[in-house]
Amino acid sequence: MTKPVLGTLRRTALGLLCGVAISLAPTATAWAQSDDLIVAVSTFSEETMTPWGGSGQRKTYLDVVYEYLTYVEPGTLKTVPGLAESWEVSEDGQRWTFNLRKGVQFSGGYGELTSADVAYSIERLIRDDSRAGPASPMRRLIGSVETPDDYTVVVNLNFPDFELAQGYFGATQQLGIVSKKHFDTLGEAEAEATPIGTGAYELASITPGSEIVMKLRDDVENHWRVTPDFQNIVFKVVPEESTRVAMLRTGEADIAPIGFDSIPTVRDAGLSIVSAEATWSPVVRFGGLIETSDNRYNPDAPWAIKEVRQALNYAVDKQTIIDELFQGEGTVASSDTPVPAWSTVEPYPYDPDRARELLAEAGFENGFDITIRTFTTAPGAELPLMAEAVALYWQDIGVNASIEPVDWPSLRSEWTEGRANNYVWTHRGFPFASAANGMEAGYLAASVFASFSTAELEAMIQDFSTEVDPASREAKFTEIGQYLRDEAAAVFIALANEPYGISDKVGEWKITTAYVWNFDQVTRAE
Amino acid sequence: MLKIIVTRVGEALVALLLMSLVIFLLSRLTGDPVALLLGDGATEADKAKLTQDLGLDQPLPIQYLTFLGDALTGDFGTSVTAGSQPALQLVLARLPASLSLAAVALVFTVTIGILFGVLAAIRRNSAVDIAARLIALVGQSVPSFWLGIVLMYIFAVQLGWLPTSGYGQWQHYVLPAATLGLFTLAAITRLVRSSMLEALGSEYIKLARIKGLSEAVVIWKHALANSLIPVITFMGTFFAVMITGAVIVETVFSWPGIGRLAYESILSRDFPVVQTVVLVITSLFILANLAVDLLYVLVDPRMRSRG
Amino acid sequence: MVDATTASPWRGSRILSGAGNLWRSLDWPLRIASALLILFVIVAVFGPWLTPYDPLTGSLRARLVPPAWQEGGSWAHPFGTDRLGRDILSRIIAGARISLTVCVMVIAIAGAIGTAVGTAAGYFGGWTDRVLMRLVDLALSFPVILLALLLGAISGPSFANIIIVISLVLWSQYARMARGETLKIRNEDYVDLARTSGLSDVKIIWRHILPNIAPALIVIATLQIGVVIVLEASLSFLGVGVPPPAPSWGSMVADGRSYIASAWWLCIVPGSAILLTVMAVNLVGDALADRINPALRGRNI
Repeated sequence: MTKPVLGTLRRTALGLLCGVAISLAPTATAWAQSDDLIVAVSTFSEETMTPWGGSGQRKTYLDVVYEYLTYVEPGTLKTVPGLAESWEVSEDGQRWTFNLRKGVQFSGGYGELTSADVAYSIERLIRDDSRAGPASPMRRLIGSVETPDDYTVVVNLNFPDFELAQGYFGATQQLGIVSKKHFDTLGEAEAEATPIGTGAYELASITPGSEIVMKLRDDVENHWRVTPDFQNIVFKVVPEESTRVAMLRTGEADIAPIGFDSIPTVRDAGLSIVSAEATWSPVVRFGGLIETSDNRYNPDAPWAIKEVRQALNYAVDKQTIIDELFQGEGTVASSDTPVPAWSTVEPYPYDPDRARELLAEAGFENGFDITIRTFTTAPGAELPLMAEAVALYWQDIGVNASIEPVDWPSLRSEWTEGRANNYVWTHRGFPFASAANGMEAGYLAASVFASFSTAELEAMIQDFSTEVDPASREAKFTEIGQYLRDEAAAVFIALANEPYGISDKVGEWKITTAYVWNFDQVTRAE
Repeated sequence: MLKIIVTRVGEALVALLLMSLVIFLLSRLTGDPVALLLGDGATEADKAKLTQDLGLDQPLPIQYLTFLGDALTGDFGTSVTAGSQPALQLVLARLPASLSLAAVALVFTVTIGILFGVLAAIRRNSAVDIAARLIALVGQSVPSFWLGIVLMYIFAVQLGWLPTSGYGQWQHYVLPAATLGLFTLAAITRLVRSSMLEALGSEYIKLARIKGLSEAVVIWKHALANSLIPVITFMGTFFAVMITGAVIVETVFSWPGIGRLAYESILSRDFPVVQTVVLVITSLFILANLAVDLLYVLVDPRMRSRG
Repeated sequence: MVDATTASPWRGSRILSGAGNLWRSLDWPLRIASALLILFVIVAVFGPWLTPYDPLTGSLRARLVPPAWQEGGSWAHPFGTDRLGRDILSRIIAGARISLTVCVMVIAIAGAIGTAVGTAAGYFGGWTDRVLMRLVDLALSFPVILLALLLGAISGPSFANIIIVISLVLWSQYARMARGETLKIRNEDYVDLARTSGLSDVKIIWRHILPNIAPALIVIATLQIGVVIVLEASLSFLGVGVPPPAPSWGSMVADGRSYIASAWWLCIVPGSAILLTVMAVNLVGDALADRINPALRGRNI
């Protein structure tokens, strides 16, 4: 090849390289420095803007815009007034009266919050087209809603619910209050695109599948509930956990949920961890155990026998799983929801010998085959790994477990349609602010999400829900907890935390309980 | 020429139709979105009503015909999960991100690939040749998600030169495009190198040299032109690889494109969106192949000399 | 009269007869590559007898142990342990077997179907050719990764699904190559002779065409091994790969991807295994291609 050609080529290549190097040189990296609070979450779920438009996972970004009738006090977990200043319930638990706070303004110039807005919000949440999680049970529960005056809402229930204020109407559920005027003015289709609420923030922009930017409302001098430090909160959807960790390290994210095994990495990088305590509970649920149902009971399954279920509990070293897989961020569980009344119920200790004994007693000294279906959720990325660990422990006592990864939608369909009868699956439980709600969902045959029920249990629950005296309620509730434990209704593994990585831009932040993220209460570091 | 174009377009339409049937059947097989959409504690009545509302109670052939009929008027249904947004709108909103990324990746791989391939061929067994062949080898041996995560770790976390993820400025394109394009880069380098080697030793080139043409012209005009043919032939495959890799790259780098949209809508059993995404992607493929066929006709010197 | 059944010159015989001189003629990179490949096959075939530990069981208390040469590691686990305390060396060995099995099955299926389609198209020409090639184009238009996700959604991830999906990606390459090669030789003398002597089409294809296009197809098969392994890894990342606890290299890399800063050996070790194997395969495949393609013959180093 002739010299001139070679020379030209070499020079061009060198020039290109220099150009690239210069342009890549670290200058003020516009993507990593920002005054805003950047929250990287794993999913926006349906990415819709109304309380009833999808799952509770969207409350990450919705709850800085919408507010609730009652809130939960951090630490004590007591119910405190929200948009409702006070409330009372009738003796029989079927008539609730809420007195609303006065002078709370909606964004967008839609005026003051009145009882009409609350009534409308309830109506939309339980309407047929609502996609919210609690829509169906609420539909059965709520008889009618009255608005005797602008600041009073009366709710008549079809059966008693003594915990409505902190349950379905509280900040942990999905009754965000919307502006009726907004929907009346723009019509439903158009109004759904923009969230108008009483919270301190409003929607600034949304890039589908990428980010949602919420900005501080400028029409509110002092918000009645929060004093935000950040002008803008940018929510980004980052499905990949390793990317979220990378973003925390480069400063592209200020708050992001991380996996348990990433905790040391994040700490080593000089960042801190905020762990939301006991917000979820990894559990292995048994299929086909609804005794009171005709199509969801499988008496031939080995685990239909109580001793077998107990054995499967004894066989698992739950503390080691917590220490190793959850980096110590959790406590061994005797249930799938942390309720004070159940703190006296002792979980099963690790005792593989006892497990083998029980199996032999039940007639399974040669073990049996079992299929564990797994899937990931948020939180819950560790569930498949946990399943493998559980399978190994079961293998040890002669139970031959095989893992079948599926996805949540398929399993959900099978479960709700009553076809989940001859396998077990990993799942997660949540703390229900209303324990009664939680029990209705998990242990009554009427619920499509029931995983265990006996005639005795149904009677106990029925008894409890109609009990008026608080002390007796507590006692009966504890009884139910003990029953669930003795019957080994599931393999309860742990009450686990949710670790979040925090950048040094953040001063103080705490998740109160599951689904109450408080992103509008993050303080800026000095 | 016109006849070729007409037949090709006709075949493309038939392919699209067949594809729509396949994807329609497949997405129906994945399960029922109704159970997913209903909240906890739904009753049979709730389910029945929603099934009817979504039109899922009709017999399959009717559903398919309805779908086709609507599609012809541009109505691809509304997303089953994302409120009442039209599926087509959802897909089109996220298409530019994927297309721009694919375009950047393609330009990057084609230019650098050709450059490397030529350099490797003319400086056979030199350091350049070995380096190019090594990169080509590695590029075809590394799974793209791993490459993406490693690149992110090195260039974003450790060096801080580039952002880890997201969308907005030109810097956001670098890592995803590099990840997306490396496999194709490797393939193009190898292809160009071996075609150039073949061309450089051919009679045609010997003739050009004898004619007295300068080395530069010989290399860049004649040898390269011949070497481009296999590259163009495989352009369709490369495009396919890009779209395939897009799902992975978009997940790792949180790129708001249609690859991730497809993944998420399959997971949430959002039939209309799944169908629409696949149809859009398939149309793109078919268009790309069409373009490649036409390019082929243009570039092939044998056909040019005839006309 | 020439016996049409035995007289056809078999290009493949030239390669086989050169096997003895092969080693001597190889340069060092090729020698290393071939050795690696042979190692891969041996490990894959004899895997179960070679693993120091059971690749499927581990102790939670011994999870994420670093490799022997790192601080905290020991030679009990040369490559360390994974997230459930399973020995990584054993899993690598077991994984070789899985990778080889997937490769063999995919290439057999994709190869058989692709060759059949391509040969038929090339041999019969006309309408058969047009229809079959349009079918190939159609298959190429479908975004296969979405098909993989859909299949995963329909029936959950399984070994069968992977084989089906990867075969669907690869079969068209065989079809195209088979067609091209068939077109080259279908008008050669010995084929004509076979036809005039009354041999059925199928027999002609089987005895005369296939053996002669085989070398080119073998090259494709070799080059595809790398693609299969890498594709399997990508499918595992998306959650539709070989189901756990099977230690396929791909799922090992996918599972370890979040640990790149903390327990880098989880994905670097299987990643290197993939890298080395695929590089070796490609080097050997390229060398084969060089030898078989007449245009490049004589221009070798």
